[in-house]
Amino acid sequence: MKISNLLEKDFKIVEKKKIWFIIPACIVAVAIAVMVIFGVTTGEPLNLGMDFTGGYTINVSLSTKLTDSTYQTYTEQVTDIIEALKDENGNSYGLKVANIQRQGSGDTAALYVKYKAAPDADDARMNDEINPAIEEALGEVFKIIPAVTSEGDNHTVTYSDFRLVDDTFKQKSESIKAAVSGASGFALSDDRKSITFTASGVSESFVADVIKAATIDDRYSGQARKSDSVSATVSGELLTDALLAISLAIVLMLVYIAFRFEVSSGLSAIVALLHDIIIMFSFMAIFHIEISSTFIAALITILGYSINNTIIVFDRIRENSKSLYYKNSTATFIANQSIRETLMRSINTSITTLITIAMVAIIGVPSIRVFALPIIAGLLAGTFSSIFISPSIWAMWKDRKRKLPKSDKEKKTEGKKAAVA
Amino acid sequence: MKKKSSIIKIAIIGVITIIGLVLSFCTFHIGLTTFKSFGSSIKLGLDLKGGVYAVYEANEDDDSDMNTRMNATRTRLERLLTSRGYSEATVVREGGDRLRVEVPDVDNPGAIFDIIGKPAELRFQLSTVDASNNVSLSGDIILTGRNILSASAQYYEGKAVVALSLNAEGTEAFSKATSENIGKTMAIVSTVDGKDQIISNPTINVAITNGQAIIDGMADMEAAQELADQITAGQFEVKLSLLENSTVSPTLGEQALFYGIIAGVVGLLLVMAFLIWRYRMLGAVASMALLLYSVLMLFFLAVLPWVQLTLPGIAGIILSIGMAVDANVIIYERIRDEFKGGKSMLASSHAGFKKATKAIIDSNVTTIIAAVVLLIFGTGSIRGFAITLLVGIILSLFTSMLVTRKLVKYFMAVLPDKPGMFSLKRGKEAEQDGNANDGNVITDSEVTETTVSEDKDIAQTDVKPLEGEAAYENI
Repeated sequence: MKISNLLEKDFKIVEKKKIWFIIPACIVAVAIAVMVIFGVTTGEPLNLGMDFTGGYTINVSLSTKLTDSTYQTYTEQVTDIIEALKDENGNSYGLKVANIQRQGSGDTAALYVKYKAAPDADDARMNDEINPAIEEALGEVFKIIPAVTSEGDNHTVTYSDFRLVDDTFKQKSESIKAAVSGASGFALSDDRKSITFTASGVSESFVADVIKAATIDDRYSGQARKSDSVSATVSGELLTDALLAISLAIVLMLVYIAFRFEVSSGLSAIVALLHDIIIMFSFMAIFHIEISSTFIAALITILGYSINNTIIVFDRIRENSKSLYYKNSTATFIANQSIRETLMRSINTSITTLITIAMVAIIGVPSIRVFALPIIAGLLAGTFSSIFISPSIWAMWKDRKRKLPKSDKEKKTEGKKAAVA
Repeated sequence: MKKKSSIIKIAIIGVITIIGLVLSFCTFHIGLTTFKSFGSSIKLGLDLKGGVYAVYEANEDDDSDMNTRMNATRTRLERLLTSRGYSEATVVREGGDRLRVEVPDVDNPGAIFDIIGKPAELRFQLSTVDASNNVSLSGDIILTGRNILSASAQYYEGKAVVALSLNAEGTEAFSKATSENIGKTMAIVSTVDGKDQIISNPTINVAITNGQAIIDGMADMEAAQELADQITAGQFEVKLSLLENSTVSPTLGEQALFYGIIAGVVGLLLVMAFLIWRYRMLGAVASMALLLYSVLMLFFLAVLPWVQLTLPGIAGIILSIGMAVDANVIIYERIRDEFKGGKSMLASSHAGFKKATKAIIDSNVTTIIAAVVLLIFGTGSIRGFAITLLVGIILSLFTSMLVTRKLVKYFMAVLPDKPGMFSLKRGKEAEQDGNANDGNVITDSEVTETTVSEDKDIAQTDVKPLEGEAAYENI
């Protein structure tokens, strides 16, 4: 096998450490460049999700029309309308729908739509211009236009697939009464789908008037609520708590590793960990992937994974360092040897974990995918750092320590010699 | 003989795993009782299953500091939900004067009020009691809910009491009222949906000037707790009224859970296929252990009361599966190394397990430390992650260190002369000796078996005999 052949070769990883340090540095540089570009053009260096930024919500009441089978269609339709919305000059507002949930059932069924503020709009502009525009656009599409039939003075307004609640019936009766003079005897049919009333001597524009008056602007068919701001789910307090807990976890892990291995191993492991986290952020920045609250979960997952990976390599280093065989070897040699011996394991473990999370990314829905992608990036970074970065740092540290006392001694003896002379 | 008993043991573990799998995914109806599958008994969070929501509106005449008070109310609601065990619930502000509460894993919209209580108005008012024990309210309102910092049930001089703590404004008013009205009664009135309810009517015994009052006379601790709950329930910095209340679908979308499960199953099958391809029989052992691990995981997620599975929780499971597989890979690579060096199959397996143990323990303990810290100091979804990770790691240690170890032993006893089936190969140096010894491999393992047959843990018995045996092999 090819991999085994590679293993037989005497390879030098620690010696090429410059390359291993330059690669992540380049990735971070690209990420910073991308962040600057996005920062200048859109004002959003990172694509922060609504969990962090807050945003706006609108309730689209669809009443009984919202069923398991129509849910998907309506969701897509609402998303398209909001995201395609343009200002009067024909420029897109650049709105992004964050998520759509279904709430209530029967007459109160509605879509609860959350969306982020337009990139360059402040609160005032959102409230005065953009939110009303959204309400209007959605209202246009979700209007329910009834059919009007007449038998003499008896008229029927039929809503084909929409059941009226009492409030809507009252409201519509009032508006028909206002539009048609002399209309009376309003009644709601048993199936709640039509209104009957009587009116005599109707005008030519009667049908058009009634349709106009009886059309249901869907937002107001149920309990309607205007679009409004919503605070972030992840509050500042929550985020600080999370960061504190994570920092404390890192410190305690460092203490344990220092205790079981060496302080140098612990510090190298933490460097690898920070590397992985920075690479994950860079990945999110470069591809401008939305950072939602699930990203925190992805981060702590990689935190655990990265430490696990690094410890396996350091365990081999610990074992080899104690071995008589390596008594006179440099740390660099031991590190290389240990990496070589654990390489097969590192590759196989990474492949299996990648398989699982890649399936989640491929099969899962978009909301799950934004969770899986940073984990994949973190897994690759974690494998990279446990092979190339942390052992290199450890070896650098060790070999420098080994050499320093020697050179100190040499200097001293030289000094003594000089003094004697 | 050894072969037979090993086959039986493998079969037993296999049957247990299969029964576990069936119980995990199938729900049975036996007579009138229903045995719900582990899988369907797991409580799911808002992101995966949805729940119920309620939108409250503040109707406050006094709108000074509205923003601060709304935020304080939000925090108080969040704490209340956490203390009731709903750490995954969310509270967000909508607009200037509304709060939206979402609670997972309940499907009856009314249930939300059992958890956070109906928004209530509380007041302390002087009262009189007539001969037939009817309480009538009289006089000014002394305190309102806003003046109460906390109410808790505790023991005081051996009796169950409710301890009240008041804010500065409340302390002053309470001090004045209690010193002027010693001997009279003071009613605690809660108004829910416009209806007054007197929840307690204690007598004022002494003037309370320090803002720390104690209400006694409760039958037991339970009654004290109930009163404390009644005083705290629905008490917020602003008056809230319910605007709407209904069910809500998962935040991640309705398909998230379904496709997530499919992804998990496909992923697990692919991992097993990879392990079997890479490590043959050892891979089969790992796959069996992995299935057992999954069954145990589902079981514990279903029975542990404080588990509520959310996406971060699933992340914790993925990580622990990764580590469970990793433990197996580490062990097998070690076994291969040992075998390559010339040891017999069983000797390699013992040495492999022994050498891998340290690494596995260290990496798992480190992760356990992280999980415990996150569990204690984390909030909300971070806790969910920590719980599943912790359960997962303990199970992973159990399956990889115990189940896999035994299974490898049994499988090797069944197929003692087929190292190829375990993807074990001799190294170049050991190969020459190995060829000469090929015929001995069987006897070697039989020799080892007699030393192991006591079923003692080899890691605990000395490894020296094995090394001696390996040395003998090289002669």
